[in-house]
Amino acid sequence: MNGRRIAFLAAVVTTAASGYYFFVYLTRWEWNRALTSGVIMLAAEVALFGGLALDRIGRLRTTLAGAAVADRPAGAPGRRDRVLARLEESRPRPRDHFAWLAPHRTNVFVPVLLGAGVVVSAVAWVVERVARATAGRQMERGLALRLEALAPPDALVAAEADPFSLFAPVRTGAS
Amino acid sequence: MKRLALIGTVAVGAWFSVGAIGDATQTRADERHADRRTEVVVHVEGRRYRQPLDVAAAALYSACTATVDGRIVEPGIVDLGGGDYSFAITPSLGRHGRERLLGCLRDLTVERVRSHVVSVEERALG
Repeated sequence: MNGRRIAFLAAVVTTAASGYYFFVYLTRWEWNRALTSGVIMLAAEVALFGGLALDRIGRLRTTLAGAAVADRPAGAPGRRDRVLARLEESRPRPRDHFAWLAPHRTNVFVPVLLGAGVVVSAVAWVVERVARATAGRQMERGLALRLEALAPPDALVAAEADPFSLFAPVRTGAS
Repeated sequence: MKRLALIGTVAVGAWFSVGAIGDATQTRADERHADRRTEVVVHVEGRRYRQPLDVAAAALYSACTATVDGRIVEPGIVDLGGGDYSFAITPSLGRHGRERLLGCLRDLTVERVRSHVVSVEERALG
């Protein structure tokens, strides 16, 4: 006798005994005791019904599982596999968040590229302007500092013959 | 035919069962005698009852006397010692009234008080 059967028998005995004493106390005019017995009977009934319902559900589940296995031909996919395949069929396609960057779609990419070119050109123009205004003299000073070591000694060269004058740019139109 | 007989048997049994339960649980007219009294001795125990047992006995009588007609006979509730108390009601109680009163006295009518009926006797008044 397993535990489930013992619990079932206990619930049946409790229901029967409490129901019997419910009427006994009623006929004795002992209302408080009758109420207590009634509550115990109801609780035992609920437990009994719940146990029977759960037991029946468990049996149905076992029966259905067994029938599904028995109906399946050898090598055929099981019920779970079929459900899984159906779910995979109905799965939505993954969304391509950068479809507008696809090579065959230039209607969006070209304007963006042109716009980016304009912006980058504007930034470059500003940078060039700032560099021309600020970095010219500083760069020339640094260059003179480095070329100073290449200059011939003053004792070898006449003061009027400045070798660097050969590299001086000829400015046309200068007076 | 057999099914009809079974249904008839069950119906007759249910009819008598309902009648018996009704007789046992409903108030019925009783034969009472004005020249007699019903004397009840009840044993009272307190479970964490924080008053004297006299108070518990008075509370029990007050709660249960509502189930019957009649008046209490002098000298009222008498302490017999050992937790026993007696009182008498006149006119004497009939079968149904006695069941109602004794059921109330046996029941857990008063909180923290347990009681049971020791004796019930019918005596002449006076």
